[in-house]
Amino acid sequence: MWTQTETSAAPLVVFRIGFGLMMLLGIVRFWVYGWIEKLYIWPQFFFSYRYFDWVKPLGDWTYLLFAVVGVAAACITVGYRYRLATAVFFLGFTYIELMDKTTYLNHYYFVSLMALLLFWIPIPAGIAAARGCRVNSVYINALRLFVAVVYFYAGVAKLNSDWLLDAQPLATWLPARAHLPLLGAWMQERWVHYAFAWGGALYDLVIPFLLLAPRTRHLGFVLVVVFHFLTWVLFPIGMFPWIMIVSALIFLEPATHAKILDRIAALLRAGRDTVATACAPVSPARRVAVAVVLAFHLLFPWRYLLHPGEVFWTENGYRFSWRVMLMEKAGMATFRVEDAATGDRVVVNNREFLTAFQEKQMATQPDFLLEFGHFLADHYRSRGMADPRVYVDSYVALNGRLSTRYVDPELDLTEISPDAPPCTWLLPFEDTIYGF
Amino acid sequence: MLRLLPIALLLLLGCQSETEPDEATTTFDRATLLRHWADDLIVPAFEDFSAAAAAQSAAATDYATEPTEASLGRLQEQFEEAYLAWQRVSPYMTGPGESVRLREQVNTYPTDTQRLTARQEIVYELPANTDVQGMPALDFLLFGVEDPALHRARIAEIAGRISTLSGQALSGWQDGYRDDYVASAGSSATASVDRTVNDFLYWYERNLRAGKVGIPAGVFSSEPRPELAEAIYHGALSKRLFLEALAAGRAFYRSEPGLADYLDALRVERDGQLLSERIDAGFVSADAIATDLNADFATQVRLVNTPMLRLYDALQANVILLKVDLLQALSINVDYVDADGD
Repeated sequence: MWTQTETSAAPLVVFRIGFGLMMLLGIVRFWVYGWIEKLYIWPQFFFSYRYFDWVKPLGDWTYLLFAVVGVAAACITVGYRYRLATAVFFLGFTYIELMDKTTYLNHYYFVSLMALLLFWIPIPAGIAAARGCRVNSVYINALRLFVAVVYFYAGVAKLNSDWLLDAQPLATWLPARAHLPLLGAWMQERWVHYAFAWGGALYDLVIPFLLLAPRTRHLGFVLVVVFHFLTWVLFPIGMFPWIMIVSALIFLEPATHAKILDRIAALLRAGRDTVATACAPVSPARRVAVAVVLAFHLLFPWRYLLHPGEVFWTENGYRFSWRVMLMEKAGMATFRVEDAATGDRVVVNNREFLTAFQEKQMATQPDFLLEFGHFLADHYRSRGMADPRVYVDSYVALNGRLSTRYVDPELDLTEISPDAPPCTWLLPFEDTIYGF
Repeated sequence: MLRLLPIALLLLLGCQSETEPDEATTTFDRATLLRHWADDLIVPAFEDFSAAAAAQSAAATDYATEPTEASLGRLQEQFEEAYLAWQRVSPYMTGPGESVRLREQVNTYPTDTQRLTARQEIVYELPANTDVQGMPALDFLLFGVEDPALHRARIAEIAGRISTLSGQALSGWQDGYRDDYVASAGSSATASVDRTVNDFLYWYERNLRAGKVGIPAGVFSSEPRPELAEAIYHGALSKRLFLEALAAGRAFYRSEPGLADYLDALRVERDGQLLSERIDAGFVSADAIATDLNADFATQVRLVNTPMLRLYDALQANVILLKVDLLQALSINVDYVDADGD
C-alpha cells in the first residue's frame, strides 16, 4: 500500500468534488431546516467537551461561521485554493461540532477527521487537470483505508450479545416503522429484526474487503448503495447515507472516475485539455502526516478498553469509536439542589435551562449529568445560595431492559471531579453485555 | 455490475409489495389508533366538557339575574360537574386545546384573589391574567367569599368565558383538525401519536403528579404548601378531581386500541412481566392510596402529609415507566426537534 506507484489523480478529484458537494449540501440543509437557530442560538446552556469548554456558539455570528464553512465546502468542490479551503473547512466544521456535544453524531466526527486527512492529500484543482495528472497511489489508498476502517470497526462493535442474541436495538426501532409503504409490513416480525442485525453486522465486516478486492468491488459498491438506501428509508440519519455512498466511490478503478469526470466536464462544457505532468507536490512530510491521522483513526476507538465498566452504561469511550446505531438508551433525570447551610431545597425544572433535545441527551450520558450538576451549583451560588449541593434522581433504560437507577440520589455531584471516570460514581450496571 | 444498480433497487422495492403481513403476527396500525383516540376519546371528552361548561354558564347567568340560595346551589352543582368534566379533557391539549390555551385559562391555580376581586375590568386574553379566571377563580367566588351574590356579574363573565373557550376548542376538533390529526399517522416527532403521547405525559407529570399532589405536599419546596392545592375553597372536592383525572389517564392508557395494547402488540416485557401490566398496576396503586385520603387534599397535607408523599411516590414511579420505558418501547420521540441521529 505504501509503495511509490503513480496512478491517475481522477479518483482523488472525484472524491474532492463529491465530498465538497455533500458538505455544501449538508450546511445548506442545516441552515434551511432552522437548526442553527434551534441548536446553537436558542439554548442558553451548552454542553462542552472536556478541555474544549472555551468553544461556544458565537451568537448571531454563528450564521457567519456556517457561511464560512459553506463557502469553504464550495471551494473544495471546485478545487479553488483547495488546501486553504480544506484547512478552513476542517477548523470551522470542527469548531461547530465542539460547540455543544448534545449534537454529537458519528458522521460529524467522520467529516472532521476526513477533512483533516484531506488537508494532507494533494488533489489537483479543476476537472480537466485530472486527466493525465498522476499522483502517488499512497493517497488514494489512505482514503480507502480510512473508509474501510469505519465500516469494519462499526461491524466489530456490533459483535455483542445485545445486537446478535436479542437483535437490540433494532427490535425496538423497526416496529415503529410499520407505517412505511412496502417495507412496513415486515417491521414487526421478530425474524426480520434478527435478519437486519446479523445482516448489518456481516455487511459492515465484509464490505471493506469486497470494496478492496478488484474482482468484487462493483458488487461491493452496489451493496453500499442498497444498504445505505435502506438505512435512509428506515432511520432519521440525514446526510450520512449519501456521504458514505460518495466516499465509497474511492474504491472504484481510475477508469470509472475518468468517465465520471468526463460526464461532469461535458455537463459543464469545460475544456477537455489534458495536463501531462505530475501535478501534485510529492512530500514525505505529507505522507507522515497522513500516517499519523490514520494511526489515530485506527487506535482512538479502542480507548474504551482502558476503562472498567460496561461502555454502553458508562459511555466512557463510546463516542468517536464508530459505535453507530448501536444502542437504544432512554432516561430521565430530576435534579435537586439543597443548601447545606439553610436546608432550603429546590427541584430543578431542566427545561428552564435546557432544550428538550439537550435534556434528552443529558439523561443517558454521565458526563452531561455531571456538567449540568456543576452548572446548577454555580447558578444557585450566584443566586445567593450559600452552600449548594446537587443531587440527581435518574433512571435509564438500555436496549429493552427495565429502567433502573443510574446515579445514587444521595450522591452530591459537586463533590465529583469532571475528570473522575463515570464508572467510579455511577451505579453499577446490573447485567452483562458480552462481546465488543 | 454497476449498471445493475437501478435494477437492484427496483427489485428491493418490488419484492416488498408482494408480501402480505402474516396473519399470526401482531401489527399495530397507528392510523386506527388515532381514529379511535380522536373519535372515541378526545372529541367526546371535549363535547362533555363543552356541554358542562355551557350548563355552568347558564346556571351562572340565572344566578346573576336572580341570586337566591336555590340558584346558587344549582350553580355550585354545575361547577362541580364542569370541574370533573374538565379533568377528563385536560390530558388532551394536543391541537385546538393548545391553540386556544385552554388549560392555562381554565385551570391555573392558585387564584390571585386580590386582583380577581379588585373592581376593575379583566382582560382575560392576557397571559398575565390566567390566574384570575377559570375554574379556580369560580371556586373562590362561589365558595371562598362572604357573599357570592356581590360577585355574580363576574361569576357569569368567567363562566361564560370558560364556555366560549371550550366551544372554540371543540369546534376546532370538529372543523378540520380531527382529519389532519388522523392523517398524520407517521412516527416523526411531529406526528400525531408522538404529540398526543408527549402532551399526555406532560399532563401526567405537571398537572396530575406535581400540580395536584407534589406541589401542595411540598415535594418541590422546603415546606408543604397546602394553599397551592386544587379547589381549596370548596373544601371537599380536590380528591374527587384527582381521582377523576387519574381515572381519565388510566382510561386513555388502557383504551383499545391504545398504549397498553400497543405495548402488548409489540410483546414488550421487562423482567419477565408485561410492561403494560406494570404501568397499569401503578395507576391502580395510586388510586388505592388516594381513595383513603381526606376529601380535601389541602386538609390532608395540614393533618398528615405522609400519605400525600406516598401518593406522590406512586405517581412518580409511573412517570419513569411512562416517560422512559414506554416511550422507548414504542419509539416515541421525547422532543419536537426532528434532528438527525446515527
